Amino acid sequence: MLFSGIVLKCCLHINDERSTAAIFHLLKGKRSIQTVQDTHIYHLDHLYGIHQQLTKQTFDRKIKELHHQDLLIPKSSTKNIYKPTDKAKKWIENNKGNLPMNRFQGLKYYESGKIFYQRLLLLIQTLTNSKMHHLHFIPVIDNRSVENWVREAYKQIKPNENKVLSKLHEELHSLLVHFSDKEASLFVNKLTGFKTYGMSIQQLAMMYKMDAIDIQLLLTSMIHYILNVITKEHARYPWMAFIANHIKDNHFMTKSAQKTYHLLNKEKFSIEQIAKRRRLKENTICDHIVEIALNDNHFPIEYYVEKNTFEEILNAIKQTNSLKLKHIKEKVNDDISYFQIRLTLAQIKTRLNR
Amino acid sequence: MKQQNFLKANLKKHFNYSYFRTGQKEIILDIMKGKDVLGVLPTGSGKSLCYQLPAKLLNGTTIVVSPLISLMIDQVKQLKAMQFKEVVALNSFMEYEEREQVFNKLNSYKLIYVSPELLQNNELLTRLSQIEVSLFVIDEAHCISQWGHEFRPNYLKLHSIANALNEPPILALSATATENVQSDIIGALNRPNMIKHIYPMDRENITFCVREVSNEKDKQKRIIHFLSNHRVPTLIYFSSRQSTEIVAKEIARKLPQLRIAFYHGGMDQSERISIQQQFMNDQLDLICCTNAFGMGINKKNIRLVIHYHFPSQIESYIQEIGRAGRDGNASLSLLLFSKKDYYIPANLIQKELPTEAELREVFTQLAEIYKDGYQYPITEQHLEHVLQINEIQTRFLYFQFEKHGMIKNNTIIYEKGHWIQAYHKINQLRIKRLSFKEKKISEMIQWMQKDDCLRKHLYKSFQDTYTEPAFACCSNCGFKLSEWKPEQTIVSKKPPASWEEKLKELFLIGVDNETD
Repeated sequence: MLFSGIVLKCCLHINDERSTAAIFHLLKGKRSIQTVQDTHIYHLDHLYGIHQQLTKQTFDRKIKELHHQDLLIPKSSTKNIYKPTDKAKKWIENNKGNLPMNRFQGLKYYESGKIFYQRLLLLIQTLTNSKMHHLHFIPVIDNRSVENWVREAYKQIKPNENKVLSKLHEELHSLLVHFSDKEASLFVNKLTGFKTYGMSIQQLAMMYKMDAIDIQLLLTSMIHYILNVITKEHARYPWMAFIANHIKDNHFMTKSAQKTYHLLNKEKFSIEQIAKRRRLKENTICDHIVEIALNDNHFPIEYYVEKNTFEEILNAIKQTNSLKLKHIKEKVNDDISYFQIRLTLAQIKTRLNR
Repeated sequence: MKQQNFLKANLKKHFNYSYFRTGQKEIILDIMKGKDVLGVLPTGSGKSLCYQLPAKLLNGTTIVVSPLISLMIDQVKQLKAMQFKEVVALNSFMEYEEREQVFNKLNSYKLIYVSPELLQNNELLTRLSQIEVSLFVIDEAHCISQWGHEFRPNYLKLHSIANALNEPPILALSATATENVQSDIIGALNRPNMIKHIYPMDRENITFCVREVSNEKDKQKRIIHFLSNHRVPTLIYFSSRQSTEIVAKEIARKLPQLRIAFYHGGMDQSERISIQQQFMNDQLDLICCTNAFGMGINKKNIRLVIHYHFPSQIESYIQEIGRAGRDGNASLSLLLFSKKDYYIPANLIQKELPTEAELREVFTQLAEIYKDGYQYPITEQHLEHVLQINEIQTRFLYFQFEKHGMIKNNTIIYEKGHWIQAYHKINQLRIKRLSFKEKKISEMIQWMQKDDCLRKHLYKSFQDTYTEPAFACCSNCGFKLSEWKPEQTIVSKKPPASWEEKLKELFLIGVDNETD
């Protein structure tokens, strides 16, 4: 149900301008320029990367299912573009209360959320086992950097183990009160303690009679919500904030784009120079620049798009009433490149955000 | 005697066991003397300790070749939990950086697990040859024999790998090796003086029960009925992933009081760990699983192993039922089959070998790749991808192509006449292996249909005699399911009424941890 809602929501926002593959990449958190741009343009930041283990098979099955339920219809000519029906809009409206869509903050937490959750699970397992003097346990989390973090944290906490454990309990308790009883109990059942291993996603699905994928999405929504609360009120949740601390800030830029950013900003290289230096195609560097423009409020767009060109593109957007590159390109002067159109779109987006 | 006491003291110190189990001491004593050893020990008898203890005691590094990556990872986890930290599992799933890190300090490990595929990597082999290897262990050594039940072509290269590692002493281990397979192992490793330690694999505390049922529905009905009055730690084996899920859900619906999960190789690693650990912790009564479950699981009190689908060979069956009753208490193997089931394993082995048409197609495509002047190295993964055949088939074919000189150093070597010859040879082998596997299936089916002692027939190709059963023998020797009265699992603790209570319990709030 949650997954259906999310897919429909994406379809509504995208307004049949992209194929369903775009939605798939977005939910999976693909780090490509196209996906990042889609995320911004269609205001789907909160849903970016919320289900990174999603498989194409599961996704396609869901699209088919929504189609059979008359919630999506294929757009006439092309097959992989679907349009939400009026029934879908009603469906979303009716289920609003059951869809915790607003908790998601995908773009912000798509990576840190995962690490935070893994740290939390392993820390609880470690502290409870340590309290019972049981140090021979198999860790629930199989991730080196998380294990290292917990090891260090444990060293600090060890002298006050009991106190921290009860503080952590208090904080987690008052956070879980924000959710429904069902959600809170689901979250608690996933936790591992001393001689109690947490339930697997599949088991929770069986127990709560939900789809496994909805369980996963629900947990993710809860983690995002919790992170948001503890960031705002870190004085009230010092131990939870401690767990969330120092997870590498999500600079939302691909590593490669960051390198380009550096060369552009610090060394004042041209596109051509950067491409040569990095042995990449100029097109790739252009992609990076669009990505940078999406992230940098002070991006000097004039440098690449003259004022007149900018205006012309804006007009084309208004005329076509579309954000599709191809439509815009058809309406502007031949000299104007796709790169310039994309930069303009990026600029509009960042301006809107401000 | 002195050496024996020394070993016993270290057994206690490092593994916290007070006694060796059957065969362990004898094997370890020979290893410590630097001898080559072939150990055939039944499943669950503690085979891995035979190299884990020497690994801790020998000066250099012990290398263990194992075909099962998940098993290696499990073992490393268990060893680390026991404070045996100088251990690592190398496999092709490791990320580049992590691999570099590990490769640079190979000599700091006492125990290195590695997959036979990764041992083909020249860089790794060179690095391993530069450290002191005190023991080279070949786990699941029957994989070396074409007539063992799971032939792994890469295992045939282990002889030359031992050579590259400066001929360390070898320990070959298996749970199921007939006499033929044993001599294959010794021959392929070229260590004629290998000392054999062969232990009988029959299990006197397991009772066998085979029942024919009329159909699927009947099978489920009987299982559910049986489980409804036998709540004991149970495994149910299936031949497909999907059926583990379907039947688990069905049982859960009918018997809501039971704690049930399913387990198969298609699940995430973290999901698998959590199911395994819950079962170990007695948080689960029953697991519906494929043969992916069980390896390296050392739960002592499994009472009941049900086969919903029968395995494609007696060896697998013996291994799977061997997970029951490791504590020595009375345990039961229950195999249910209907006539329809006869075709399932045959369909499965079809997937392991290419058909003749597929083989021809692969040859044609390979020749085309050659004629197109393809520049990149042809690896197994590459072949799997290009030819769209599954992993097991690829492994078989790639090895044959190398053997017949059609691929050398990841390059195709084309010579028409030679290829035609190779085609016929590979096809002959394909037919031979297919009929071998079919023979294995029919052995299994014949065993199920026997009307005299099941125990006698089960073990006859592995050993001459067997120990008198400690409890009831089998359904052909008068055992009735209604007679089986194992100790029932009693879940006394009431589950917490609310999530808040559960959270409190989990965080041990109010639990006193002062031990003194």
